[in-house]
Amino acid sequence: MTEIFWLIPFIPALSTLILAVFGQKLPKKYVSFQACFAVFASFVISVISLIGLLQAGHEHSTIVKNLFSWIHAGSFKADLSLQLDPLSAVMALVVTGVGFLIHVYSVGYMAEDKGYTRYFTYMNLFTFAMLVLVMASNIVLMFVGWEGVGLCSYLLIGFWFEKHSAANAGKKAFIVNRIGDAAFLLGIFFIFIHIGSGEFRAINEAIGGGEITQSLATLIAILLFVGAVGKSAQIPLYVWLPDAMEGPTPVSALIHAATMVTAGVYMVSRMNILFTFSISAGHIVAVVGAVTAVFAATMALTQNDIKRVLAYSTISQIGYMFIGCGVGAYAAGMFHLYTHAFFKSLLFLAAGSVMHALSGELNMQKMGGLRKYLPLTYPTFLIGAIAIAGIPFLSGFFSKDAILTSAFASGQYFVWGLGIFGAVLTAFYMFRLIFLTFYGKERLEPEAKKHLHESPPVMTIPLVLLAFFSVIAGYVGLPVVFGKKLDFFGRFLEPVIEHAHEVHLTLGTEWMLILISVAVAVTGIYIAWVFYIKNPQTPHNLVARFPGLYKLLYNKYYVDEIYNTLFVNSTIKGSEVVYDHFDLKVIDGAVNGSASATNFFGKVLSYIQTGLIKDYALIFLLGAILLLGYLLF
Amino acid sequence: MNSIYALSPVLIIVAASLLVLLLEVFLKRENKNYIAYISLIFLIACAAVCVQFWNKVYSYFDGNLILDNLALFFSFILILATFLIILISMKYLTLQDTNYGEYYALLLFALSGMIIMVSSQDLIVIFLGLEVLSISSYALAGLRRSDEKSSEAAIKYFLLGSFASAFLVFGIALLFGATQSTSIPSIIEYFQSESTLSMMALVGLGLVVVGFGFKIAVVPFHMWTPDVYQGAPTPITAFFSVGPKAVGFAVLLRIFYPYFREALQSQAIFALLWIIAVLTMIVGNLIALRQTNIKRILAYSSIAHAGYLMIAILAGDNESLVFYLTVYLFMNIGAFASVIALGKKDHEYLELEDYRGIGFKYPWIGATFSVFLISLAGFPPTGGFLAKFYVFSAAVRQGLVSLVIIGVLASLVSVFYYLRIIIYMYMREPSYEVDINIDNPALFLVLFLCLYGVLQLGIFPGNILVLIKQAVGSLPLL
Amino acid sequence: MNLPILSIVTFLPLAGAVLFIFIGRERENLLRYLALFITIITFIASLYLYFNFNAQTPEPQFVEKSAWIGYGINYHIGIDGISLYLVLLTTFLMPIVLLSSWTYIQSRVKEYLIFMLMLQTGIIGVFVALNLFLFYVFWEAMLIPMYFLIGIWGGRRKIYATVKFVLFTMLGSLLMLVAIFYMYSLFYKATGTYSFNIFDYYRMILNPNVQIWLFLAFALAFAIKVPLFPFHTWLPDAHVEAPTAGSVVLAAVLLKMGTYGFLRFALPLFPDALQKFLPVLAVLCIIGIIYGGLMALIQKDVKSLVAYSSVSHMGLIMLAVFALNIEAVEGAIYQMLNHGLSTGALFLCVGILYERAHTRLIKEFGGVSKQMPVFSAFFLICMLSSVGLPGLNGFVGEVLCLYGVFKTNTLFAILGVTTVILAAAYLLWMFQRVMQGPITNEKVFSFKDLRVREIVYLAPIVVMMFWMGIYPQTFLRKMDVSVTHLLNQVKKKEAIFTKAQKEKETLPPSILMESEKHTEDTEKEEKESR
Repeated sequence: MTEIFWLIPFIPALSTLILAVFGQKLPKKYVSFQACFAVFASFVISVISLIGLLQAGHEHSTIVKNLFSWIHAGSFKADLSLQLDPLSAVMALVVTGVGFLIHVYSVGYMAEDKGYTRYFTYMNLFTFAMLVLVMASNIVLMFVGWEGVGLCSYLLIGFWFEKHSAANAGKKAFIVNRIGDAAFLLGIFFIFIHIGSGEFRAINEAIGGGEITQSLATLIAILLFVGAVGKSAQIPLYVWLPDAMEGPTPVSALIHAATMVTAGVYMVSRMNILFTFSISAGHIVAVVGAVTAVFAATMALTQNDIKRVLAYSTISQIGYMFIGCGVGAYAAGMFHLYTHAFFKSLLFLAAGSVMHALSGELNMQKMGGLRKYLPLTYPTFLIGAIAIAGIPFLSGFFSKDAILTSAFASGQYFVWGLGIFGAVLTAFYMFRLIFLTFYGKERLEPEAKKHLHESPPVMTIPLVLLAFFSVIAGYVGLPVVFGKKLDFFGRFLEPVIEHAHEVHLTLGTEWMLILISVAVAVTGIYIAWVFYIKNPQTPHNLVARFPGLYKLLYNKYYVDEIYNTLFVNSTIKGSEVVYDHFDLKVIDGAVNGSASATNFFGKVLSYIQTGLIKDYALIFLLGAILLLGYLLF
Repeated sequence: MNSIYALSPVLIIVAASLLVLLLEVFLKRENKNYIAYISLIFLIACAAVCVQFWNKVYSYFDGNLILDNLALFFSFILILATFLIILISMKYLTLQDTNYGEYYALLLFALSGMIIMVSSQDLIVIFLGLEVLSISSYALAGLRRSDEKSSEAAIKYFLLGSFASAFLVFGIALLFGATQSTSIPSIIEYFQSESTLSMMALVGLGLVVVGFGFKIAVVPFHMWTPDVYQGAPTPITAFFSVGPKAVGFAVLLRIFYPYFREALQSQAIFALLWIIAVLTMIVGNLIALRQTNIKRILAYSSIAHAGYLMIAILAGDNESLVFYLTVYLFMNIGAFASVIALGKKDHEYLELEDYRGIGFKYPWIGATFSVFLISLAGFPPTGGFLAKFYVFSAAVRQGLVSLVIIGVLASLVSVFYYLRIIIYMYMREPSYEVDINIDNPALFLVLFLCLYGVLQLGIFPGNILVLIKQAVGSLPLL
Repeated sequence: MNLPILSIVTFLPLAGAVLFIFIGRERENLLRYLALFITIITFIASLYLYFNFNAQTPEPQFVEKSAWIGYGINYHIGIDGISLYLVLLTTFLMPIVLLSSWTYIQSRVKEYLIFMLMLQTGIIGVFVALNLFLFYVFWEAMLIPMYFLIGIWGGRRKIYATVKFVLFTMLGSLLMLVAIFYMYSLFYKATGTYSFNIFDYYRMILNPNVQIWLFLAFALAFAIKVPLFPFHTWLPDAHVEAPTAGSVVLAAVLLKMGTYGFLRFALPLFPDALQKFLPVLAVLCIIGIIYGGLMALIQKDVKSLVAYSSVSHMGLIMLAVFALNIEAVEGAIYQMLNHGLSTGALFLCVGILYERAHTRLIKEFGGVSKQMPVFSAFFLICMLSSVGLPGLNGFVGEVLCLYGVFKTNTLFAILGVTTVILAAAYLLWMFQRVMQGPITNEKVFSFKDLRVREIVYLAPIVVMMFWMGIYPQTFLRKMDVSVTHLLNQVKKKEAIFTKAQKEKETLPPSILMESEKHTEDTEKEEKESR
């Protein structure tokens, strides 16, 4: 049964093709049905394949299906071949599973949109690209998916291209990603030159066999990681993700929370042998992750746009995942990726449902006290918040704890500390969000209040399901304290993820760490409660106290402005100057100059032609004399 | 083989001209065209004779007049030229009322002079032919008495021409003094025997170069060209641009070719011709850039072409030279014919401005004219390209790389002003009405013939090349 | 079958052009359909070439050879794995181009079509000629129709543009002509026989000092055509002023003549000189890549934006050519085709916009996608193919080029990779300003979406883009052997030079490589000369 796994990406592909060509003529209902069905079919197959893998057991846990040879030129060989192993299986499951729910949700959310068909075409295309990314058996094909999802995010962010901001955000996302991709490409080249193949197995064997040096490995790892930084919105290339919220909310949920943005984490885990082999690379990953986790969280503190808060929270959470990978706990990183997929998409969809209810209102300052109006949205939202905040017995807790524990275990206490601090902030901003939105007195626009309503079931059912998963998803990977064998998730991934420097902590330390993270979470929530429920003046007082700090956070450290002046505008200005003064004046000037010079000589010479016969005779004579003179002397 | 036949071409032409003169008295003004027809018939006869004599070397006057293949070939293309000229003249003369019988007579006289020049081995005889040619040319140039530009042209041509003749005579005299002979073969013998040339001989040679340099219009003896070309009746201009040039080069070929190969490489005269060639190409092309009068543009273009031909002389490659002249005949007469085609009663369109939009108004004239211009500019697949190709490749084979580079750059400049005419014809909207008298079958025949010639020579020149091989074969090989 | 298929492909259009002379100018539609018919027939004929092409041999195929003028000037044509695709590209694009100008060209249709057909023969001729004289004839002859196309149907500054184009190109090619003469005489001195046959010339080993000059002459001609920075300034003018069809042909095919020239002549004939100048050339390429990209970024006219993007792309192709390894060169050839398709397609799209708006200024547009969804889909795909998005043709070529360059010189590759970013930047920004955002110019409201005809000629290109992106082996397979052979030639000669330098022996101006036998070409010449 498992052999058909290679169909997983191609079902959405087929659906995309059909929608792209005939979409405009097909009825809306059919369009949405086909789109959702395609993803669902892939989901079913993924489940089947996963089961197949579970039965197969460790030894033959990797199946490769080579469809056809794609590029063969000299030593550059890349095939269109897919690979099924625990890692890709998990990812496929997440992508298709969450993807399916979000497709369904979209049916309701996009119901009134003119670009209905276009939307589902893009969504299917994305699913296809993402599945190629996760199932590729060689790095070139992975790059195809990598850029493919980039394209889809460009298309979907700019879905409402009539809006300047949307078009802009889309372009920005694509170009920033391209910067990462360029590095990624170089990484691929290095791999081909020094390992001679792009197949992951070959790469792993080569590195395992010590065919490349430590420093080279580091170089490659860093290049690839730059790509990951672009895709997964880490410092310094995260700037595109907040703007990406211009896209429809389900898009933000699917692409910019659950799947695409985590591709970087997946890639790093995929290349885990490389990253483990090069110690410094690992450190860099961890540090970048940790710093991003906190940095992004601080920016989330002051935002009023509900989606932007979630965006920054995503950046920060991905930071955690990278901490996991960086400290060698790839399983933990992947685990967090997997749980995060549920609760973050849940949060986005819930936020979307809130917007839907308030006819597109995004500003939390214009909400409040919504819990009685949104009986279903509220609890699901709350579950999501608790999960992400890291309260025990919900998925987020397990994964985040796993990461922090391993960070601590690996002895990188700085990273661990940042992680902990980030956790406080996370808990705080999430509950700030909850309180501002659902508690306190209503600050609604009368217009919005008029048709305030809970979303239709097609939207709420996915919410419920996701909420359910956000609760239970964590139980596949219980912390070590409950006994090693309960960490199914980690064990399942073992064949593809080698265990780097296992450091065993005493049970006491384990418990202590758990308690710390719990305490941290609770503290965060408590502060939020104090700030926004107990005495709501506190924020204003604080702002009054530290206006500078507030402004800085509120304007996201002015990073966008800095980038614009530093890179964008300077490039454009510079090019304009060069064009006007060099291209037109110097280069082209030389061309035209030579022409006019010739013309000028012609003019000068033509003065000789006076038309007076005496001059003619004179010149004739001079010529003759010179000629004779030359002959004689 | 010594035989009176050697005289026949000249005799036929002279006879024709005399007959024409005679008839002119009796015929009425309106049917003067008969004269044209008659002279055409004679020309055909003469051409036939030349064809008959191919490969039979007749000579007379103990070798002073010799009809070797070279002479025959040149006579033939000269006859052809005259033939075409007469065709384009017929209508023109009535339109621009220059319809005088002596026109044809003079043309034929000039032709006879040229035939004498190409078929003679003796400088004196050559000079004789030259004078016959020149004097009738002066007359032809000034034939449009009403138009003072024409008379001006005649005067200038006459004065400078006699000036040049004087140099030539003097040169011949000096050569005689140095070599005790005026016949080219013995002069060459002398040159080859002597290791270093006497000053007298050198000066003589130089003066001869000056004399012919005037006829073929190389810098600095070119000054007359633009004015005369502009002033003279257009068919005559065409005639000047082809006939005398061809003859001049033919003679230079006779004098220099055998003399060159090894002997002259080192000599000063070589460097001299080198300089002349360069000057001619540069000056001709650069000044042409500034002209707005078609006839003047073509005048300077003909100077420039003389420059390219000089390269052939320097390369000592007679085949390419003769081939170039042959192609040049077609494309230049063609160009002038197109200019004539754009004329009406008592008016010719000669300014660039007149040519706006002509290409679409008169597609055939425009197209053919463009082909001739493209050929003059040296684009494939026209004869102009192949001609330049041969000359330049021959020169490179002789190691004259720098000269060739100058040559190609000069021709790059020329591309500009040739294409400029096309720009006016096709790419500018006409600013005023240009109406022309297009019922002129003879002229269109000429256009067609020249077009054919240019393309045939450009794409399948094989047979002509064989003929030329034979023609130059008659030159003494070394 | 011994049908002279290659000659047919080459001269059928010319024959059509001649035929056109005798058809009345007023019967415009007849002319249009006839021209379309001819080009399609030509395309079908060229498909025959593809299917009967034997990928196993580097030797030229479909060779036709007959004595022509003598002196080594023969009619000698044939194609190998390199030229095959350029011929196909030409024949494939020609019908499309004609369709694209179906309504755009309203005045002087007859002349227009005649020149188009002449142009096609000229271009194909360049790619199939195996005799340097023949090559040069086509190379120059091709200028004339292009000159008229730009000059007559061009835009406001058409005359300036067309004259600049012709003179600039000729400057290079005339010097090349001198170089050709020089080799011609060298060959004559070496063997006593005349020959323009490039295979004879391949056998010549030229003295390094001689090579330098010859190489410079050839390189200049081709560099202007490509165009390499800093010889590029004719390109934007020509592109902007030319009618859409002209721009398409110019970008898609004419520029390839330069790169092809390098591959066919400059590399195998002057390997030693090439080695000497490689750094300089590579640097020029890289400057071209980055410079072109930056200039494209700030163009105000869509067409000149695409023109500068060509400069950038061609820079990458040349860089790959100079990398001299199989991946790079195959990538370069592949990228030539890609660039032909994508840039050609972009020009078509610009043309479609221009036909509706009668302007090409970016600021005049905005929000066009809203009015023309179908068009915007096509435009998007063409743009992405030019950006080099995986799954489309651009990526395959780009990745191969960069990889090849990377193999020979990491630094160059790293600099070259910037094209990945720049291309995205200038194209997406243009797309955003033209197609997206709110509609600012009310003229846009009047835009009609694509007509059937327009879809008909855009669709094949898009299909090809996907095909070449998803299954490139179709094309790569057949160029392998030829490219390998070419590179071996270069290597073999280099080896000789290195040997000579080691042994301090000075090479004569030219000698012949022993090994291979005289081609029958020279033998015939010998008979003639006897």
